[in-house]
Amino acid sequence: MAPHGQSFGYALKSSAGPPVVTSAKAIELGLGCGYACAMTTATKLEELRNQLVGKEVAGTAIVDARPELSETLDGEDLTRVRLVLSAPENDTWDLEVVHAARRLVEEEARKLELPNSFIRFSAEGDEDLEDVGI
Amino acid sequence: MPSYPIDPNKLLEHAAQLAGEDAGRGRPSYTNHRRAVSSAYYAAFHQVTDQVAQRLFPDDPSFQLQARRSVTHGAVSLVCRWLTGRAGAPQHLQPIVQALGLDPAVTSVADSLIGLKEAREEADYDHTRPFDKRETLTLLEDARATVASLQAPGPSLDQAMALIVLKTTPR
Repeated sequence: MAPHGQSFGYALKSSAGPPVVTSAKAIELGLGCGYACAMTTATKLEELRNQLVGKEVAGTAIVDARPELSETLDGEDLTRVRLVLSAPENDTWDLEVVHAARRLVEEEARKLELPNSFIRFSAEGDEDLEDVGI
Repeated sequence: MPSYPIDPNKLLEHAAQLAGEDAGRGRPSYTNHRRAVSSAYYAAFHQVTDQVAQRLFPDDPSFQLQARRSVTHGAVSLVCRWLTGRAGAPQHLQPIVQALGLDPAVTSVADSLIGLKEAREEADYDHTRPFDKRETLTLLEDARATVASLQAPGPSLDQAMALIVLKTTPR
């Protein structure tokens, strides 16, 4: 199996050496799943985080993303993503934001050949809220 | 026979009370939020069962109430995953699924039903998962929009209900 970066070929490398595109970009460019297939799950999850953080969904910034591999109650693989969004002005995010976030995460997870995704929404500043068992 | 239909709108009202929608700021009750998330999902689910039963027995409300019991969470979830590309549909249904999946009115309802179901499972079974007020209210809004869409479905969403009928019927 080729080490990371080598399956891109020359077109995607700078003359200085390291790859100049991300793995997800390589897949988007139609270079097949070669690179994603060669990635470990941990690398894919990290890449998913990289693809999400800093983007906007319907005008709301994704401040952080914490993906992990999990499964549903039925035992199906699932990519759980805790998405930290900039806090909405009111009590809730617009549904446009919710839908756009779901679509984006699912699309990026699919590019990386990760299982179907599920998002937990947190607001910036509330992301470290812990359950106190009430 | 007396009947006591499960009314999605009443479930949404219950969820709103539990979520503390009209309450001021303060320390949230996590148990209430769990139950709010669960009720929000069930509101959307039972609206689906209502639509499916209306398709099957349009002129008989009594039959509709009986038929609603046959609609399973698994069937609804699977059809929603077909419509959003999360799972492959059987080959003979693919032309229908692909056509319906082009309509955002269908895919947004399917996305919501998937998201609400998974949230409900976490709310009911995951002891480590907190639901804060903001997320709970957001999921409640999602359920409200889903119920409203299903109560006045466009042609594609109405046809998507037929897929659930097919999936509910054993081969």
